[in-house]
Amino acid sequence: MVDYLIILFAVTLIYFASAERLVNYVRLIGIQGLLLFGIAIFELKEINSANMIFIAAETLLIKTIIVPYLLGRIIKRSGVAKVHRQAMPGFYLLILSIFALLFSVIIANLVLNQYINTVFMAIALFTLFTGLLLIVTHKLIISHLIGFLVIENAVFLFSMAVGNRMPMLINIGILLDIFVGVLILGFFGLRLKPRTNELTLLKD
Amino acid sequence: MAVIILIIITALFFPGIILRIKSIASGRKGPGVLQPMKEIAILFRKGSVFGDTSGIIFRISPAISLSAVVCAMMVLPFGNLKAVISFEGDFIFFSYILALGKFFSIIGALDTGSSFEGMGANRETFFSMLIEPAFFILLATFAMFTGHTSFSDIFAGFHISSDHFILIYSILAVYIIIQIAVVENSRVPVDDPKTHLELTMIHEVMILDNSGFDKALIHIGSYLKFAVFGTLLYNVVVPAGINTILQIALFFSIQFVFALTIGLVESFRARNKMNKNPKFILTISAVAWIAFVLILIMTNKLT
Amino acid sequence: MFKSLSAADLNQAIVLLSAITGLILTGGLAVFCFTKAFGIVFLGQPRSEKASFAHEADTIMILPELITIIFILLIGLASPLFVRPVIDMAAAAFNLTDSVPASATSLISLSHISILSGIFVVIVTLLLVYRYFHLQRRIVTTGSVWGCGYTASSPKQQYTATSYAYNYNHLAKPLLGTQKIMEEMEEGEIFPGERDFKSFSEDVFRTRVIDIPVDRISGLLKKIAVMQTGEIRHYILYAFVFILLVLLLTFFNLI
Repeated sequence: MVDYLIILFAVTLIYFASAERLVNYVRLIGIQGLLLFGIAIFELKEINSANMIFIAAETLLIKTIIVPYLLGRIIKRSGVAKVHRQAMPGFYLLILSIFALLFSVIIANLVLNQYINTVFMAIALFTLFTGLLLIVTHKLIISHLIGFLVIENAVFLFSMAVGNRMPMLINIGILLDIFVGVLILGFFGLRLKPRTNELTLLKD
Repeated sequence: MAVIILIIITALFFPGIILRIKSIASGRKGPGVLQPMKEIAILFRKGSVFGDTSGIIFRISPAISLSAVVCAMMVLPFGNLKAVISFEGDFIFFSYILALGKFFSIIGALDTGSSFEGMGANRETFFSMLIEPAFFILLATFAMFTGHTSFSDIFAGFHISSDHFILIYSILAVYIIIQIAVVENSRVPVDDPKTHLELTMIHEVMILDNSGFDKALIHIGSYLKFAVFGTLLYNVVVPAGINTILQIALFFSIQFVFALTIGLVESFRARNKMNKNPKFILTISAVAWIAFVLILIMTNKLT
Repeated sequence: MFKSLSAADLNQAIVLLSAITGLILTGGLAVFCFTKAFGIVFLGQPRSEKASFAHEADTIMILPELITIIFILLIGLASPLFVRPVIDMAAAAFNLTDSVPASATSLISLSHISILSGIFVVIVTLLLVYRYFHLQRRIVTTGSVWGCGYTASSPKQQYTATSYAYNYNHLAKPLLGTQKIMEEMEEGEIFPGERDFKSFSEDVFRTRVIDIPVDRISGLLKKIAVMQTGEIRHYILYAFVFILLVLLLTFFNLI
């Protein structure tokens, strides 16, 4: 069952590379949060129920419901709708995504270790590369935030790859990153004037 | 032989079902299910008008594209029965004989000397170049999983193992085959067959100048191509070796569901912007690579 | 290649599948290239004054080509006839007696392909013969090609080679480096005046990978070329300096 969810997760990453509108990015983040909830439920064998409830709350509540809601509000208030001005850069991003998938499969195979679950490792690396590609190939600050959230999902999967326990520390770290990204950008980033010649742009 | 008869029977009803679904989804009653066949009969009765710049290629290309589809039908299996002719590597033959038919229809379109057909030929060549890898990666994953390289052997050996991964692999394969069929037959969201604006057409504008008997041949070829992809879907979904009556019933119901899907997608989805199409088609190849990674997990190469 | 996929391990499978993808893309590009070349050169209306006078040579001149074409078609359609003797000859010449049974499966595939190609040719012939008799009983006329209501169509409206390949050029711009030289139209220019347009595609590997290092090295060599003055007295001076240098270095035990 877990492997179905992992493969669906990989398919959502491909659709990240080919999505056109920001609304689709937000929907994909929500779907990824839901899939991570499913993976956490089926894979983690925790005895400490407080930790389990915390992880379930984190993935289901925060990643699936609250973060997409906040991102939707940010998008609506800033009025940006499209990710790229032209459709052509998306094509190159897809090709780079395919190379990232193959590269992560090869690396996961090289790190063969009895303590590491190779499938999780491969998909976690693919998620990491996709997040990095999203940040590197886009100009808008909201796309950088989405890429950052995808990298957080990669950290989650990495911790799953190494064992089937999840220490509280990793959870708190992920939550802090999400908090910093979404809330601070949402409430302070919108004060940026468009076209201020900063390093990142709010609108295109 | 049975598969050819079944494909012909399906092709008789397939376009009519799509038309009917589109009409019902827009609130009308719609034409009868055999209406496209009646239109082909009308085309057989008509004469032909040829452009004054077109030469011999324009006159022979519809016949070649139809015979290409008929030859492609001969390598498809049906359940337990092997194909009419099956050999190792016949899926490569399948793809390239369809590409040969497409090649001749493209140069037949270039033969008319009109700018619209040139535009349609350009777009059709480009999109079929982008969709070819998806088909071959999918079939390479089948070959890797079953160890055979012929359609008949692949689908005879496909459902025998009791791996629970097969379900999601079948779902991915069905999704990819439906997308490939949409691109190859030029349906929404790649191309709208009902558009009347020439600058937005891809396949329709290539056959704009054909009339009468040639147009009937082209339509028959496209209906048969639908049924051929439906047969591929049937072979992926249904395990070989069950009761024959049940197999035939499942065949027709899968073709019906395929026609239903295409009709519903055409009713509720707009055609892509033209410069978004290459990205859409490449996404299908990317999902095929994910199917490859899934097969690597299934054959225990990635653990 | 497909048969070896099931026996390959992970890295080999990825390499094999990438090779297969490359081959498929090559096939797609080949279709692109041939439709463009054949269509632009031979089909449609003549694209220039000179091209309208072009005609085929006499049959006796193209007879050797026809014979070659017939053989090419025969090899494609009836391949086992030609492949089997060649394999036998190669096995006998190089003593490869154990590879002859291994090639038997590919020969079986080739014979099936020939049967299918024969069926293809038969169906095409039947359809064309039926079409001939069918059209004889119907009215067949010619008319002008549909130009969306535009009746003054001319050969210049047809697709050129650049516009046919435009889709692919746009996609592969980083690799092709296509450039246009054209005077851009200004904002207030409602009816554009006459302009020249030139587009060309430079060899990206030659300009970036080969030309840059070569330019640097030749710049360096130019500085040394100052010594080439063309007068014999300078060359005698160089020889004298060399001898002096060797003498000094030997004197101080450095060489």
